[in-house]
Amino acid sequence: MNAPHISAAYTKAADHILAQVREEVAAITAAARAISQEAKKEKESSALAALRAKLFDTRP
Amino acid sequence: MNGAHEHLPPVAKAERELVGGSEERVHNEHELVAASLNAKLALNEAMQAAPGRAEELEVLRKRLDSLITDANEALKTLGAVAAVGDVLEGARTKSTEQSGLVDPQTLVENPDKAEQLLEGVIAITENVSDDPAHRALSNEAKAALAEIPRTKQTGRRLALTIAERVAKICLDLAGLGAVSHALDLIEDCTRVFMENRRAATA
Repeated sequence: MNAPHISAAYTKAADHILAQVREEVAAITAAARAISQEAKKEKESSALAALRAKLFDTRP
Repeated sequence: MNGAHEHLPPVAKAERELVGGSEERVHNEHELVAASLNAKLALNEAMQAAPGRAEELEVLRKRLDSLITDANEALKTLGAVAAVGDVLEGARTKSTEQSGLVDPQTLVENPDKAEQLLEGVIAITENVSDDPAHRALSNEAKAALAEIPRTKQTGRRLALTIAERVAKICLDLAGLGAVSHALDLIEDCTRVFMENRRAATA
């Protein structure tokens, strides 16, 4: 066994852990962004519906 | 790990390792912080955009917190075990004076490194089941570790007596032939981390 043995084991272990972190962080970030996007679309739809109602209000 | 230091003479390379930790290990900590910040930013934006979905976002936030806590703990243990492992391997392949890895004078200027080495010793010795020599060394490392915070408060220098004690503990561990235990523990850290994450995301 020579000097790089511990280093190699450390690198492999840390890479494994960071890969898992990257994967989970990407999933969490994507879920949060999807929620933001959905909220943004809902807000736009509501604004559009309100505008439509205002422009095409046919009530007497 | 040593790629960036390979041009340095052996003692300077060892001191660089001892003083600053390897660049790779520091880089890993930075990557963790950056990843965490990006996700927190996305969560905060979502919280503002969709306050009605706060419960759902809270679940994501807790998952992120547990992920970062688990990863920090695993990387901290890995770093400590690898730091001691470097010393153990150095002691096996050359004399302590040549390796320069446990020079008490260098530890005097680096209480954080001394602390990391002791944490590594404790992690390794506690992972060896029921061996009196390992248990005694673990107790000695814990006692030495308890001395460090007091010393730190007096100007970030370690008393030479404590630095010598830390160096001796590392050498005593080397005498117990603990490299294989260090390697086992490095594997265990990854396995425990992955098991925790599987449980957290199930």
